[in-house]
Amino acid sequence: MEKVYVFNPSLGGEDTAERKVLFFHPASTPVSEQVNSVGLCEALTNFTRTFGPTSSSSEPLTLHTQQRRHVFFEAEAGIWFAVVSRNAALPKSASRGSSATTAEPAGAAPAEPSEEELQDSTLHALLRRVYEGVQLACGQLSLIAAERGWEGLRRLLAAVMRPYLQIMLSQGEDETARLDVLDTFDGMSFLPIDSLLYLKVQMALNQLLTHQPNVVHTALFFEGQLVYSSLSRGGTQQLHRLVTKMMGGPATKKPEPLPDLSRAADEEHLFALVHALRHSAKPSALPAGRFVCGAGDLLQDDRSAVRVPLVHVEVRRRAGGETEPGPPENRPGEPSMHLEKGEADLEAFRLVVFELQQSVVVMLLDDKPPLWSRPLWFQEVASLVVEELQPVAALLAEQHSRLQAVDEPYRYVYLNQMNLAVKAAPPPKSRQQDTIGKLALSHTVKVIMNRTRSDFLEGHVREVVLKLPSSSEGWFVGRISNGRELYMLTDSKVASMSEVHQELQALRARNFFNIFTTSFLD
Amino acid sequence: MSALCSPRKRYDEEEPNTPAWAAHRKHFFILSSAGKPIFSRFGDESKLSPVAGVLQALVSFVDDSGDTIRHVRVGAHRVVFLMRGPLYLVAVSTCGDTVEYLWQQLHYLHAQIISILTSKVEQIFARNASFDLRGLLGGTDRVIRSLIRYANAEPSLLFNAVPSLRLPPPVRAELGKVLAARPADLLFAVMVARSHLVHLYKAKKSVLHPQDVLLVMNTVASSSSFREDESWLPICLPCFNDKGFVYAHVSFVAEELCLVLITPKADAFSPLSAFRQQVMQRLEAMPELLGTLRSSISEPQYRVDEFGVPEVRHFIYKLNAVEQLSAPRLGPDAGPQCPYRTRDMAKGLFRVYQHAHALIHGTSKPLRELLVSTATETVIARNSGDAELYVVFSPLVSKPVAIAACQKLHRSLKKEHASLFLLSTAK
Repeated sequence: MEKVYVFNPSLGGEDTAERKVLFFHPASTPVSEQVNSVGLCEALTNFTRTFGPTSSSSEPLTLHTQQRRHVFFEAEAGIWFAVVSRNAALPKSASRGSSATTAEPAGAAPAEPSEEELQDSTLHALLRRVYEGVQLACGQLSLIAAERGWEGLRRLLAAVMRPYLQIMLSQGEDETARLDVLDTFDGMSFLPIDSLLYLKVQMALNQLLTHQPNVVHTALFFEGQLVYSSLSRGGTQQLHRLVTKMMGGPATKKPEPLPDLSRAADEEHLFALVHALRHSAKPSALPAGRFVCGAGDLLQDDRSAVRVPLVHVEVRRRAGGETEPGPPENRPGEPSMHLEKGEADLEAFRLVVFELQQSVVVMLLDDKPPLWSRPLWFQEVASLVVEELQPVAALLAEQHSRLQAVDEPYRYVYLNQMNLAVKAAPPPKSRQQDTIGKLALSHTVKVIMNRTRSDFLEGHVREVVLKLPSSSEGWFVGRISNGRELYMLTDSKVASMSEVHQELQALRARNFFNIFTTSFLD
Repeated sequence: MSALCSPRKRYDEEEPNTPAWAAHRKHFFILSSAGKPIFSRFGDESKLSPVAGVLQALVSFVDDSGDTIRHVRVGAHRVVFLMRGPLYLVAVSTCGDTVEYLWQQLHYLHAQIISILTSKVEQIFARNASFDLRGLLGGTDRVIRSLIRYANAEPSLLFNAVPSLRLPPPVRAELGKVLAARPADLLFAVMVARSHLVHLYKAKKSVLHPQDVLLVMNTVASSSSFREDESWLPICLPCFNDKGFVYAHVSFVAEELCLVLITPKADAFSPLSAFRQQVMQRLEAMPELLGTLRSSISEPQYRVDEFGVPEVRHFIYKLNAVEQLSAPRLGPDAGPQCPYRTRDMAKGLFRVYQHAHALIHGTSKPLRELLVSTATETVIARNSGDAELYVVFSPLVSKPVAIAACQKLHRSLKKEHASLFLLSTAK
């Protein structure tokens, strides 16, 4: 990721074009280059609009150059997010500049670098994730601009995005470096549990809601897998991402203290806290659990605003968006912090995260009354959560280890676009190694997989079956049906397309018999 | 696919920057590196300076950062750039063509311009960057337009292969003998009928690349004036030699049968004209052969049902050794097995082929076997290295059935090589 920037093309005039820039990373970029980057996007959008409107206004615009990929995306009316990434390796036939004429082998097909590991959709997903992260901390940006002026937004973005990008780009986990199909999925892996256990989980969390009415939403994760959430799909996904970031990170011996943010705006706390958490020593699991995010030190509460950051979460599905309509979740006592009509239906909450062995409980609290600033409140909650959740957590652990023990003969990833459930073998815990199942994905497989998924999302292609070019690899299968995607790799022993078909049927019989009717995977 | 033709419209007189102009689904622009418009598929290019200016600015802007612009995607829009020396070629499309194929079309457009002007065009621009190329290209718009139209529904440019006419092997051999009695200065002789290759003669040690054959075929097809008499035109074959002209003697020797004789000598008209006379006489002396030839030409290509594999809707078969391709007919008389009866349906089918082709060739090492299923088609592609076969089925076909049908078709096609392709041109 070479550059990340935010701008509003309607700001500034001819001579003050630098006012269009709201945020620019790296900050050391000369102002003239910043202005040019914005101008490039303006020129491209104006040019393409000459030829008729694009299908949807939120459609990202991608510019491919020989060395880079630029993605622009209008996140909110007038507010654009852009990311520029460098192509990992220059394709062989890169000499395509103005000097290249007919010097190539006579009449060869224009050997344009068709092999592009990064599909546009992968970068779109990344850019959208950048925006959603900012939104999580700040809420709707246009509202901030309206309240505090564009200069205020500029200051806030600088304060919020620096730690945020630091987290995204932190070593070993550079999201841009390991972009693969699982990142575009942006799905969540679910812990499959039976209905009885599910009800027990629900009951435990309902106890919490009943005894602590200022807790508005809860979610439960087990080893990074989603067990329960009372939020909408989008909100759950955002929290899932956030919690994964909080709990992950390189283990360092030297804990990083929380920066002094006592004067900073509420919005600035979230990523500063996440950043500090990632770099602090992880305490060994306490049997009594602990607050990851909440009053860390019960006696010292002047930092509680930092420890209990404000998050802006989507509680209802976006109306009229691309997601399918769903019944709105009716909650009594709707918080008053209700946002104006916007793209997302966001609400502001205080975030508390409690870790109990392998389980993580996420609680969203009403901002007012500020019970979250009282240490006593945390003591009450901790004892309640431990009491209710301990027995359930043990059952979850049992289920989890049972599933881990199952030997999975197939290599596949499955995504349900409706609830963003990802099922892979084994669970995408191993995603850093780019694996599906036990074997690492080769470069070619990634190219093909990303391309296939892009084709699926464009909505025309339904299935792809192909023999991978290397003889040590087998076949690749990708299939989409009713918003459900499945990708499978076979080993090289499978000889023909007919055998692949049989493998696919066997996979369905084994892993999806309870999900699919016959129409899928036939 | 030539059976599906619609009347031509005069797009070049259209007013640019109107909604109707903008709504065209595939624009091509050619401009000089100084931003002067040279050609536009739609609209009068002299009024297109603003568009050319923007395109030129985009190219040079990215150039300034030490990079090269390639393409832009937003929604269904694709803007594809190809910079060749002083010429910038740009395609703006919402028609669903793959980026790879748009590039290929630009590449061919450039080659077609070189075929008219040779690569000396670059020197002209080197001397005077703001030179107005339209004067030199004058009247050859038609050739470029004809190429664009051809690229819309014919797979030849996509596969970089010449479509060949299916002929009984003895007829083809006899034609070869007729052409072999050539005059000394003949470099190539190309026999073409309805945009299908009938026969080809090459002088020893000279290579005629499929791209050059396609450019010659397009030049011949672009104007009906070639039908009337013998014509003599200088032409550059970019793959053969992009620096200079060769000379083409173009005439029709029988109904729909065009003979193109190519020589390096500017003053060889009369020996070639005499040879053409000789070819005509020999053909007329063989009425039986001419009859078979006529019936093959009157129904170029064949119906897909002839191969006895009822599941197959359509296919494209490319033999790599000769760089030729063969495909059954489309259109109203394509037979009950082939549902592609209108031009739009044929275009839709072609996009599916484009897609499969892009997947097969999208990795550094081409794929060997592929199945792609869309809402309207299932395609199975097999690439053995010697040949590429793309077979289209209904979207509802069961996989085992389609796989078996594909194998059966492949076996029958292998037996038909001699009639489907002109094999004597193998390298």
